[in-house]
Amino acid sequence: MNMSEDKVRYEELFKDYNFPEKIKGEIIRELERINADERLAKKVIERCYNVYLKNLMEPGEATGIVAAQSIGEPGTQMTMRTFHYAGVAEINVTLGLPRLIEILDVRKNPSTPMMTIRLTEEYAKSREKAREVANRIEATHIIDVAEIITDLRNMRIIVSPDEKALERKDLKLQDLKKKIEKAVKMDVVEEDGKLIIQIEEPSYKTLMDVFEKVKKLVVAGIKEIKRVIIRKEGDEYVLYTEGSNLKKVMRVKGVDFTRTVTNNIYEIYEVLGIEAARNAIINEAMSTLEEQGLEVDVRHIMLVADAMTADGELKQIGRHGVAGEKQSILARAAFEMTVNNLLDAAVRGEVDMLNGITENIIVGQPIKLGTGDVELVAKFFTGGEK
Amino acid sequence: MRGGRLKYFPFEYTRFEKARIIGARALQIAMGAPVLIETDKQEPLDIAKEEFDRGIIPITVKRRRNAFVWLQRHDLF
Repeated sequence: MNMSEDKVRYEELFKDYNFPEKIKGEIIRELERINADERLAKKVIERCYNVYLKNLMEPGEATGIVAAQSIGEPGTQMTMRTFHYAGVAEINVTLGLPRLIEILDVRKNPSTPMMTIRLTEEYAKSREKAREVANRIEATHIIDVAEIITDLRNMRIIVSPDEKALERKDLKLQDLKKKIEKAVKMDVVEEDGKLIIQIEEPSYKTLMDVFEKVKKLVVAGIKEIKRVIIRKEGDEYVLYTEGSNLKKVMRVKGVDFTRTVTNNIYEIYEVLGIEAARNAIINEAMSTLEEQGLEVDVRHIMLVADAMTADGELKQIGRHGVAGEKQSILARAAFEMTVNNLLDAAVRGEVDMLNGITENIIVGQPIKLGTGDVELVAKFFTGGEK
Repeated sequence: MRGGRLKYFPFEYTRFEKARIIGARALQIAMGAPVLIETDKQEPLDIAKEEFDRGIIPITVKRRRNAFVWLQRHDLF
């Protein structure tokens, strides 16, 4: 029997049912596994659909509160293990509560940026090829490949490269020369395998400035990527990096950018857009919670991620984002900086329409949630008993 | 309830709507409204519940979201 034909057949049965893709895929996989005939498949799908509908939230349910509690309760268990660091290979990664706060605050510079870089088929199979890509990515400072000496008497800086180190990093002396020339904007003379930078004006300060500049010079790779670790995962080699620069790494030859991720959510937002950022938030938050052994349903996290990304731009949860941009004055004042908010609103002459939940609780009205959101109307004719 | 052929969601009263209808009806009965069914029950709430189960409470809900449509982007979930 043809497998692909089967899949199409099952897919067709789903036409009338509004399943999320993920559940649909799961059911199809299971149907394929048991090799169900059409009648059985139909029955299974109908049953699944009824269960799915029963699991949906009812209109009027306080989903935000439920999500807040579902994340908050496990969060209290996290606090006990704050600032716990654990390593992927030898790289340190912020975990636990600090990391969760980082994600929800949308920090532009997370304390431990990290990338997981997967390689194209050509490079993923052998360690040497992977090393090649790693060299292209890892920032190589000039000190890593050469010795720098200041020659005070002749007012010059001598860079003496280490042949072996150069070879390992796949660099040529000429590259080095060009890089230095570009960085210090001075002529570099090559003399039996050494590079000499002659300082023209006899000033000790200029010499030291140039020396510092040369010392910090990145001769190969991407500046932000401090370290690359190659690990074998399954049958392919994967690169883990300390530091992150998605935009540049995606351009590097040999990198499979479709499977390359960073843990810097803001960077994902800038490079790949808002939907990618939403997924990144979900993935990062889930993995942070999971790592701590806490089980939180994805849907709670998805709600948070949706609130953060709904406007098409990444907003943090808090004063400068979701909570601070509420249209209701009272809701804003209830969150943080009460006096400031009320004063600013008064100056601007804002009006609170009392549409939300918080405002109505403050003024003591029934809220539009649950039973409070039901509008009753008289039904003058009832068919009587069914 | 069958398949995705029904357009409106939810297809039945939500638990909030049910509570609100029964509550309103129980209040009416408690305040002396004529009971619409033959029953031995004494408590207004119990009577209202029975009336609801038999579908004869002359109250229904007006939904703001009757125009609920299924999301087309299922891939987001």
